[in-house]
Amino acid sequence: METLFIGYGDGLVRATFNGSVKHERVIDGVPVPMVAVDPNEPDRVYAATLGRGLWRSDDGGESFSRVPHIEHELVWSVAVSTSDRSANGRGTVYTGTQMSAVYRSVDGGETFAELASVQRLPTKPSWSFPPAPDTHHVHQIALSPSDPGIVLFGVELGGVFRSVDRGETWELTDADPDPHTLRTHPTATGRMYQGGGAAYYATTDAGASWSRNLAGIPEAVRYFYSLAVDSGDPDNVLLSGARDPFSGHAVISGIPVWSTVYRLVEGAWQEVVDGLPPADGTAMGTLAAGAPGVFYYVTEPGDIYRSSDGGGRFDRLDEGQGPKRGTKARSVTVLTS
Amino acid sequence: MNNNVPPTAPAPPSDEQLIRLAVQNLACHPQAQRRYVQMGWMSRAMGNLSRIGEDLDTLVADGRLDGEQARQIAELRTLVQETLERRPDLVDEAGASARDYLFSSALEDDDWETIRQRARKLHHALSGEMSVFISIMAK
Repeated sequence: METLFIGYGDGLVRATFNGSVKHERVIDGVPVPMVAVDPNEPDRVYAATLGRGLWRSDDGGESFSRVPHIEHELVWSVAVSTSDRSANGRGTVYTGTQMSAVYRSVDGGETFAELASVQRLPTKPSWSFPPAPDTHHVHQIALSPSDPGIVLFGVELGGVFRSVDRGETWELTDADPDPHTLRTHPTATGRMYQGGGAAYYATTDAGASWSRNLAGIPEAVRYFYSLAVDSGDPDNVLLSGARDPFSGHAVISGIPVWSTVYRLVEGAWQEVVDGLPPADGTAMGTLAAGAPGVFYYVTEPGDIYRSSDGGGRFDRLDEGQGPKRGTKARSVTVLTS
Repeated sequence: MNNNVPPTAPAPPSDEQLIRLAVQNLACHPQAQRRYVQMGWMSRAMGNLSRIGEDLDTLVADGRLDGEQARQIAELRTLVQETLERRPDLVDEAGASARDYLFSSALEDDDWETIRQRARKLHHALSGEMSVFISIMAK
């Protein structure tokens, strides 16, 4: 069975897929931009909310309660380490906020403390989120699955920073400064991937150096957001793209909505058209990987598409009679059991 | 359906909305600003700031701006105008291809940083504690 945690603009839905989809709304009335499951203890689930801080579940996402020690109400990102465990066996947790700050829990999510090192970064005065440029936030966090010291966080919009000492010191990387999505791979441990605001970037040395690859993508497509990597094949990557933020997110009336999904095939991107909605009129959704060869694509209005052949073809899932899903999908996290 | 009624066109953005959008465009991170240059939005933002900023008294009298906001808008307008007089190529793409320009370091100099920081402070003054997206279509 696969469990999807789908963060929407108005809450969090837990969707279980076992032939058909059953929805349960588990957080209501607040945007949920990211969910992370502790890989060492899958019943422990964290949900970032934009307005009510960080939330935590100890029953696989059936119920949540707010995590203390984090004063920020706007929490954008959360990640749990596979390689860095506390004494209680749970993974070290990192979470990112608006305005930009990174908190870390070294006791498996019981208590959190801010990393003061982030506030001392010399480029901080230049960070700025375009729709609200007097603000910025830690949009993404990525943790090495093999080296507990390697931590990356990305500021929207201000760059991707890398630490090799659990966040004590940081260096600005040469990834896209607009870190919409950062992903690692569970077995190819040096591989990391970025869906950046202007390009796709990848690294084979755990984020020390990044290279851009837009091969096969038309010049008119210059905006990228979500990506997912096949858990069974580190070279099989899906990436969502649009002409610009306005065609991709449908936030300004009068600009035609257009977005699509690309698949990396032998080093070049090919558009995925089999089974997905047409690019014209479709706002950018969110991608996630499940078991080897399995991808999910949740469209902005919440339709769920699934591929079981590594992203070559998608099928829209029968969503049955479950409770009303959310609106404006922001993130998907897949738990396979 | 009454076919005698012509379709209603969206209301054009107000001067207050255009000022807010201009400030947002001028305050962004350089990568976003390079995209706005490519779309023609940056020149339009500067034009709207120049035109509307010439007479802010009406917006203040209508209660759509307060005195401090108007003062900061006037300051930003003067800064942009003075910079443009010194550097008429301030938003010139210099013949670069769209992709090369987007990944260039254009707009990453002291003049632009001064404009950005001034506009960012003003954006905060306009939006209050919780900045929200400015989702309007500019002229």
